[in-house]
Amino acid sequence: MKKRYLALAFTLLWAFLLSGCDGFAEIEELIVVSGAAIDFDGEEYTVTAEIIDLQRGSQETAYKTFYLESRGGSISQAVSHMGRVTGKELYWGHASVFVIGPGVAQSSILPVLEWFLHDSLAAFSSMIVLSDTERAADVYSFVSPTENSVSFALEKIMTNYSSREERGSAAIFEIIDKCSADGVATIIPVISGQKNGGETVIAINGMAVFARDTISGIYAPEEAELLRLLLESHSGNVFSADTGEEVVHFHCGETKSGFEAEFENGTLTVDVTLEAELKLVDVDGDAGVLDEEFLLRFADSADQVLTQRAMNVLEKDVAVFRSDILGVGQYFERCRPELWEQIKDDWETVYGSALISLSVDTKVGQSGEASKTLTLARE
Amino acid sequence: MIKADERDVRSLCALFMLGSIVIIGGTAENASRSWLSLVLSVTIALPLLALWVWILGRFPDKDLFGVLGELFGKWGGKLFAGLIGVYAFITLSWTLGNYTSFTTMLTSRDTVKEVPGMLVAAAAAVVAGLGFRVIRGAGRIFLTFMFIALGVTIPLSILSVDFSAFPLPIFGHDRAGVFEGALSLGMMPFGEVIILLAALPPPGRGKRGRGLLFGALMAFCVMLVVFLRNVMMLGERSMDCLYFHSFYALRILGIGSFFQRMEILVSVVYMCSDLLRIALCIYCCGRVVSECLGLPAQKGCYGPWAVMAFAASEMVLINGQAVFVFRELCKYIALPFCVGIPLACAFALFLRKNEQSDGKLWLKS
Repeated sequence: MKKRYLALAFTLLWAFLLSGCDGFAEIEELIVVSGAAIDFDGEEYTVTAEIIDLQRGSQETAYKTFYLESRGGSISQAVSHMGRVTGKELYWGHASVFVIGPGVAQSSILPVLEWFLHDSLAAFSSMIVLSDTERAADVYSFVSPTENSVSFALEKIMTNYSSREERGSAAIFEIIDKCSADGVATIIPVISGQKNGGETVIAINGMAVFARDTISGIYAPEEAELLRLLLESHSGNVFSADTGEEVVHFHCGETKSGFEAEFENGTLTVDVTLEAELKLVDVDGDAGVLDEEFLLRFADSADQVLTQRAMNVLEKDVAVFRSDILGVGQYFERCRPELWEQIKDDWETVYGSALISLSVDTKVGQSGEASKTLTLARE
Repeated sequence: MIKADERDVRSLCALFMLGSIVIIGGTAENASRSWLSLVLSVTIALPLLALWVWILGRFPDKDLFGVLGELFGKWGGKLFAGLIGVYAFITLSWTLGNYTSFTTMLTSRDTVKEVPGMLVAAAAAVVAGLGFRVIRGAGRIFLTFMFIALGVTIPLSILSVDFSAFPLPIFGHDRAGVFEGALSLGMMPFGEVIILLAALPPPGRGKRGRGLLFGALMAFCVMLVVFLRNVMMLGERSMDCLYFHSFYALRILGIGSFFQRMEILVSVVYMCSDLLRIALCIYCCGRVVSECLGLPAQKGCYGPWAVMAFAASEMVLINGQAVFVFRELCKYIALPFCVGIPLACAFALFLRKNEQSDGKLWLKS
């Protein structure tokens, strides 16, 4: 009996260990890609890969980076051409952030998404960002204060960004889902360079909105913060509200948003609600933060600020982008499929003439660590 | 003489049913509604299983071949045994093809598919040749592995699941696909229990029927959770595009720096359970040969069956796409075997019952 189990154990060991070793490549034969930028000029795709060179590292830096650029009629062609140029196998396992350029965004992001679906080299859990530069490859001219590699820096930035998103992230599988769905916009973070001391560092700088597979527009960073609140995502932005007696600085904690949509007599009405918990950060003025009157003034003025700014975001989407950031169309598709069948073909027109209203309900959650503002002795 | 206890039946049934489906993670038809197809498949699976429980319950000390011999006579029993062997061979070939397409598409991309296919076929043939005692022991170990893996991945998945992505409307845009998926799941894996029953020796301690039902219930619960998890992690459209939904759902699961690449854990568990499934199919084919030719069980030619099934999968299922197309056809191929044979047995039993007017036959049940 022991022999039988031993034989079984050896057989299993043999079956598992020997079934995957063929085609193994040593690390010296691999080129490790940390990230890539994809551009499209209307005819050809240009893929610029950031390569990690472990062998050229030094005492100061564990690795150095260099770049490979390749062109092709499709992304797969461009990528395979890279392998022919270098003579080594490109290892994409560590490439988690891919930057797309304005050319790709304006033509279609579907070829990029298709590459992730069908090419075994690409990782399905990667993230996509849009660059605000003329070409996606220009992002590699920026620097990061924490990493030698722009791609690794982007990976950290995007990982932090994605982990704070309650609804929607830059992950490929989510973008594929949104992009191929009707009645909801695809939202992709925008990155660009920002001045930091004497250098230009890479940072998230707004959000791009896509209606299906082409870009509709970009929300500036301030607008993007309100968009994140509307999407129930965390926003670390500090807002300011003038109560008339003091200027209060706050940011929003937990938010809940929802909407009710009706389509009657050819008109779409969307009533959006936003509940936000306010966290007091700072007060310019003399106020006791436990004072009920102050808290009422604070809540009212915060209401007004958030309502005005969120309404701007919604109106811009309806009037300009027509991309349906809240997913009103998807609501109809899920909950009222018969109605959706009637209106889906004209959805852009229907949504573009929607009547949107917004009601904001705020409550003060935290009021800082002090009960009163600091005043000088002689005041 | 070795016998199959109730817990052996339970563990082997659960493993046999979960074998391929848990890593595929959905149906080929309307993948995002796989959970609904699974629920609807109960209308097919439950009567089938109940039928088998009723039939086998009338012969509490016989294995399936003994039952077939009792119901259809010597040559009729051999004929039905041969049909079960044919179906076991088809299932074996498909499972081997699915295994090799999984390994070559995802886990061992640079390996030629003949290598893992041949090795797992050989390993399964060795397991089958070692006899039911080894299959039983391996089944208990692998089922433990499977539940450990599920116990880790399912709770971790909850942190990444978007419950608002629950697919609506319920039937989606492809209502017919949901019902086809239900038929597919009803046949594979629930209907495939006929292969397991043919591989099992005569029953030992406990009730064979209860073990069968509990094993199927375990498999149903695991599949339901996995299917729902996959669609709420991947989203409807992504799920419709992919082959191995569970693999990709776990690939995007990651918590901190420690819990990463969960799909590797699941791949190992999948390989173990598929190995057992393949071994059971080979064992069934071998038993069919030995029963039909009146040979002892160890003379069942397990190795040649494995080689032939591997060759068949290579010739017919030439790539991953062919595997999945064949999977969609399998639900129709399975009908005469998974439904026809138990119905024939039930009919024969009904006729036999009418002939036994003194009712003595039923005293043992």
